[in-house]
Amino acid sequence: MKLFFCSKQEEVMTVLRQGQWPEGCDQTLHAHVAVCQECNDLVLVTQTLQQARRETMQEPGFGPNSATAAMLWWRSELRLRRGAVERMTRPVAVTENFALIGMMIAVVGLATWQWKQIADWLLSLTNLASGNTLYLNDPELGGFGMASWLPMVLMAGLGTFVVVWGVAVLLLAERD
Amino acid sequence: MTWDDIISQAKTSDMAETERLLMDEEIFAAFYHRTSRAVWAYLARVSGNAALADDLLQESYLRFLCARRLKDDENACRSYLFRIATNLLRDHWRRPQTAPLEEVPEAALIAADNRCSERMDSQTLLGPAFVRLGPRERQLLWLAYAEGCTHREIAQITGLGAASIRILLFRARRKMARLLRQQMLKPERKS
Repeated sequence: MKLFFCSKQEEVMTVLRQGQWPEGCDQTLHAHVAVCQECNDLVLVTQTLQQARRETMQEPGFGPNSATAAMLWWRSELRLRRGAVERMTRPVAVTENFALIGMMIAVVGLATWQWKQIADWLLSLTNLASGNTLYLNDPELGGFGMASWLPMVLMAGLGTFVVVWGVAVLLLAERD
Repeated sequence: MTWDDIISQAKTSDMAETERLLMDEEIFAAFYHRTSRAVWAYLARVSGNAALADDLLQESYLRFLCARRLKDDENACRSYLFRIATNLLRDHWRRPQTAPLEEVPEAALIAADNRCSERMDSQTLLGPAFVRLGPRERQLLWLAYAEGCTHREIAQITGLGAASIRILLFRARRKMARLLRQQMLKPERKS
């Protein structure tokens, strides 16, 4: 597309903006617009868009009918307050998240570092339970030995810990 | 300084704050009254959807208020408001649609938008020609020729380079003029 900028364009635009086209301008400008494709386009497009704007602005069926200034003001105040609260609580949430991550790293690190001792301890517990010395003679237990119920207790404890941990993480995530 | 002094000072500052807020609300109400229709017209014409224009208009004013720009001069406020509206339109177009337009039944489209396109299009030549332009072309043309913004203002509102506005407007204007002439030449129109 060949670009062509007419020198009279500004003048035509001013006349159009002031609403003086076609009556309020001189004949030379009329004659120019009649022969200049660029200015002719400008007049056609501007008049059409100005007419569309007038119609849209005046048409009673159209317009911002669903909101009032007071409602918008009130909603903006609410949004600002909510934003302020979020800004205030953000450092606390970030600190909590850091603490959580740090604690997890510490637990995993400790478990890795002291794995041998932990394994030995667990093994000794199992051996202790399977030994006759701590055998429970309570008839209500139906003859179950330590060897059978201690791992279950350990598993239940671990399960409870995992569930509580999961709920805590979920609550934190929801709050964030 | 006694507790009574502190309490009376706090009360005075509270009253001053309330008074300031009330004054700001009045200023905003007047500003809203002056500008809302123009912003709505821009959103409705460029998007071709009156319901969307309603939603984006509210969001534009909310963001404007949250930005605390009411103390700026009228032209700056107006320009900033149009910039927010333009960004919201852009965000809307960028957002992935839940269903492609081709898959939506035509009846649903008419029901969803019975206030805007059909009536506005029937009133002027603009509608059919305008919908065949790209979103950016519609924005540029409306801002330049309906709102009377300068190239610099359009650059601020749209985020485009000021130097490119003239060329983009030239192309959009020529395209629209061609479409309008085609529209006027159609024999079945406006019987």
